[in-house]
Amino acid sequence: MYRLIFIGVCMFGLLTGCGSSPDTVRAAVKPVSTRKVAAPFTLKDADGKPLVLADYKGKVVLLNFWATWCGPCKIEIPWFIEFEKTYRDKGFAVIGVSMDDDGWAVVKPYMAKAGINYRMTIGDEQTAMKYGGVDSLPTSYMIDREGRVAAVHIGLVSKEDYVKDIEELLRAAK
Amino acid sequence: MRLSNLIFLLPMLLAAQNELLTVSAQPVIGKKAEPFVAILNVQLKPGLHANTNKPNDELLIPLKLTIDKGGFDVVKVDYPAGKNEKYSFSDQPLNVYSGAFQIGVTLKAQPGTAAGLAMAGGKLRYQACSETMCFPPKTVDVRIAVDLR
Repeated sequence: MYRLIFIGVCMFGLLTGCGSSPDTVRAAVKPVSTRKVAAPFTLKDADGKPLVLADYKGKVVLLNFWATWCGPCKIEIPWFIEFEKTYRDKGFAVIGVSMDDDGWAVVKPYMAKAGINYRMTIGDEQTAMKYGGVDSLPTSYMIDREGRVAAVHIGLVSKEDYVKDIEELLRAAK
Repeated sequence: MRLSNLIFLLPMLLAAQNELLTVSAQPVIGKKAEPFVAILNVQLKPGLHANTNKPNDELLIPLKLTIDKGGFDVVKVDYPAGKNEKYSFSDQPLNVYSGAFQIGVTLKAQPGTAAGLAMAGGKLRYQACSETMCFPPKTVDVRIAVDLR
């Protein structure tokens, strides 16, 4: 009898779990000792030039996975444009990785319309897998000057959260 | 029900928990030379919305049903009207589905399809988002049991 009640409770838990919607995950900047190296990649940018993540060593990088069909991603883009202007000279860069299946055909017009001023590339399955599969968008990685992942944001987080991360990572010794 | 039987159900329950959208079809009776309507029951996970077939923005990925297996042609698909919702990231309201909704699909047996029990099969492609995140486009299998007379 107790066994049946236990099973019933377990089933209820599983079924009610179906009702939970996915939540935004905002991870604070990790201590240096726990950071892991960001997976290297080389992809073509909008000008056809190779975009090599390793070339950004020494800079703080906001690596943003997004897509033109992703509404919440579009809320963040004006912030990233502003960050690129404000922090570029302090050793910061935004890299956009579009996960659009239609590639540059949809991304380039959107870049022009939105006035995107940072480097962009088109992501592929292989790159996404290196970053955990990127199951939802936006997903952004904050990468420190040593090329290590300092924080991950899954879903839309606040502009203030990004500013806090960027300024904290820029303050770290070069 | 024995404990061992319930344990076998657990993976199915866990899989269902991970689905953003589920679809099931009511069995239908169809006449060989005449179009007939099948109803699909679609359920989105709470907190999510999916674009309708006409989402008001060319960049958004529309929900689309295709039936291409089992010897049936699609005569028409009746997508229900969605709800116009305004989001901060869009200049105009987007037409979306949430919760449960039904899609009607009118099928007609192809000339060579034998009478009897048949299974019309296809895919439902959709793209879902919450208020704060979006999921890549996905497809779910659609199976419609048809008693073809």
